[in-house]
Amino acid sequence: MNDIIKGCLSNDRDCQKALYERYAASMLGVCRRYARHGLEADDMLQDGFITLFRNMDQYHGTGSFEAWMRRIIINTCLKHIRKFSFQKENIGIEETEITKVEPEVLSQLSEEALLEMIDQLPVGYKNVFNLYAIEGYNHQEISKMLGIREGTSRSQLVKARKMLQKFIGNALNAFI
Amino acid sequence: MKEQNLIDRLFREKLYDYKVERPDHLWTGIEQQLALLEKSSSGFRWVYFFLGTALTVVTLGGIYWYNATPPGRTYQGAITADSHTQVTQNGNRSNTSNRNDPSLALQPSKEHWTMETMDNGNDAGTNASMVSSRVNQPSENYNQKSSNNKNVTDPSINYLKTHTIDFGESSETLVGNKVDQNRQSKTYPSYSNALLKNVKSSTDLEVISQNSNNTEENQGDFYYNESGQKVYVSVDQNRLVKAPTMKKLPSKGLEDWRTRLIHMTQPRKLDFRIPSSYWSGSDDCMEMVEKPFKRQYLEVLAGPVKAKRLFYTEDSILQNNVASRNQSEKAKSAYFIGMRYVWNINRDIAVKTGITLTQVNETMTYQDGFNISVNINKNGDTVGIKKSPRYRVKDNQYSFLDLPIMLSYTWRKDRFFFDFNSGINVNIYALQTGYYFTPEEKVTAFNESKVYPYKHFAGISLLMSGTLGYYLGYNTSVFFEPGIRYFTTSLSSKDYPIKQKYVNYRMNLGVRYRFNGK
Repeated sequence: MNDIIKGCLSNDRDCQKALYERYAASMLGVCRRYARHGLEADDMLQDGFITLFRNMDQYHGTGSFEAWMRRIIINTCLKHIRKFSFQKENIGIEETEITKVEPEVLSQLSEEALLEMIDQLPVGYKNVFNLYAIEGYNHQEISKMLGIREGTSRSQLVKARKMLQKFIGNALNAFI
Repeated sequence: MKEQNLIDRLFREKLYDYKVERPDHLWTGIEQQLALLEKSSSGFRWVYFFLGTALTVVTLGGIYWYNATPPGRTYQGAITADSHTQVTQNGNRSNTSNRNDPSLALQPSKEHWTMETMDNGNDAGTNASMVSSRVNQPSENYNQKSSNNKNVTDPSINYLKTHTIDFGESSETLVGNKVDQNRQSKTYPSYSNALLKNVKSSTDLEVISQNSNNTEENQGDFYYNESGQKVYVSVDQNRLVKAPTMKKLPSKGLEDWRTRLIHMTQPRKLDFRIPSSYWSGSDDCMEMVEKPFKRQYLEVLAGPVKAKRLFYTEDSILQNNVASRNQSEKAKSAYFIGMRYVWNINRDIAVKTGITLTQVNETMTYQDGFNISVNINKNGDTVGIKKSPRYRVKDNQYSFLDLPIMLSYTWRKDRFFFDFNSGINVNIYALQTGYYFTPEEKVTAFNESKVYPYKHFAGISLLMSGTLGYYLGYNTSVFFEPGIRYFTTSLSSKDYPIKQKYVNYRMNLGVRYRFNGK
């Protein structure tokens, strides 16, 4: 792995390709959670790897390379969203019925089904939920990454959870 | 809380390491883009070149300016006599043999000049019509004094008498004369007439023509012009045989220098004062008082503008709309054009006002549906569908008509000048045309919205700029003026919930024409 990173630092195309082949699938999975559809995720991944290769010199080998790369990919996704998210999303949170979720049945939901639920969230909610629940960032970090207040981050997380709870309830009802 | 944790955990466990099969074509795209970026990164960056050049010019200009100004620079128009002048009270002047020969007028005189009519330190002789006498009182015409330390006129000095010689509008005569190489030995009527008219006794002139040391500095009396350079004067009996000029002419062009000298440093009125310490053998000092510096200029300027605008709101519900506005509306190009009137309150301070137009051209980009492409093979089967967002771009324009009011402080050196300007810009009219996202996220034309989102009177903004100029001639100069304009208040109308900050950076070039105050 170190050889690949060194090769990438000197713009060795073979090493760059090796790095891409090694991590593209998992990073595309990250992008897919932030993107609205598969094509946008592809764009995000492409931009993310270009950003990564152009900033390789900023990786000092002190932490996990994958975690560092993941952060770059996430930042690229957020940048992409800021650039292209113009659509209005109307959500009737107040009308949402909350269904109690039983833990044992949750495992029956597939990754694709969960991804589909995340896709249905408004962009702001989706970003906060992805960053907090899945990536593990705290609200202070999220507020800096998204350029919003910590309070906004907290309230959007709560709303995202409520919406997801509703989606899960609907999905389980359909399943049963 | 448990429900929340459960949901978080579910999504984290299922999606943190979620993988999607990577499309093969992506690497090709990355490879091509990397090659393109590597190629372009070695290209020439004109923006940085332009900014770097501007910064270098201003910095070097400032350094040159600072270094070129003599450390002991006098105030504008100060006139000092030879510091080694000695005057006695016996009233006799020795050796006047070279005084009738203009060509010798500049040569140093080795004898000591004397004043005839003094009695115990009191003014007792010269023509009362042209001499305002004062004993043990500071001159009321006393201006700022600070020449090369040794010749400083101190406000605390008591002046015995003051000579005031008004040369009138002598610069007009001199300009018409087309000063030639022999200027130093010529007699200038405007000067000599002024002297003859005002000076009735040769003793009055002696104080400005005396020389004692045969050093380069003391070959004639001198004063410092407004650029801090020495200008020499000399008198032949009742005539001034040498108009103010430089002892050492710069190599870059005689005619060029003389023109500048006449235009910029011609004294209108000389006020010679003799301090009481004169009579005790201390340094003498003379000074010049100029007429009030009241010049007026007209400036025309124009240039590109870098406009920066940021939307914000206090309402958290509208955060998405703020994001949409910030992302969708981008400045494309902007320019500034204006005309200003400049009025010098005094030599250093001026008021600048006029009318200016700033126009910012923007684009508004938004998604309008999708492009869907269907791939069909030769058998007519659908093998793939691609869906991608379709974006539309609208042109927006944001225009300001303003009235700037600025105070300016000027430094001058040779043909260069530098003005530091600061003040306010009073908006006369502001207009935005084009499209934007309403708080309901609808793409709407500004003039069709229920509430026009901007003020037509954008209020008052702050202005700051620096003008680096060069005198082309007597009336005309050109200048380069970078500046900044900052709005302290939002440009949005009162009832509109999305506010905006606005700032622009200017890089103007202009022409200044002087039409008054010779």
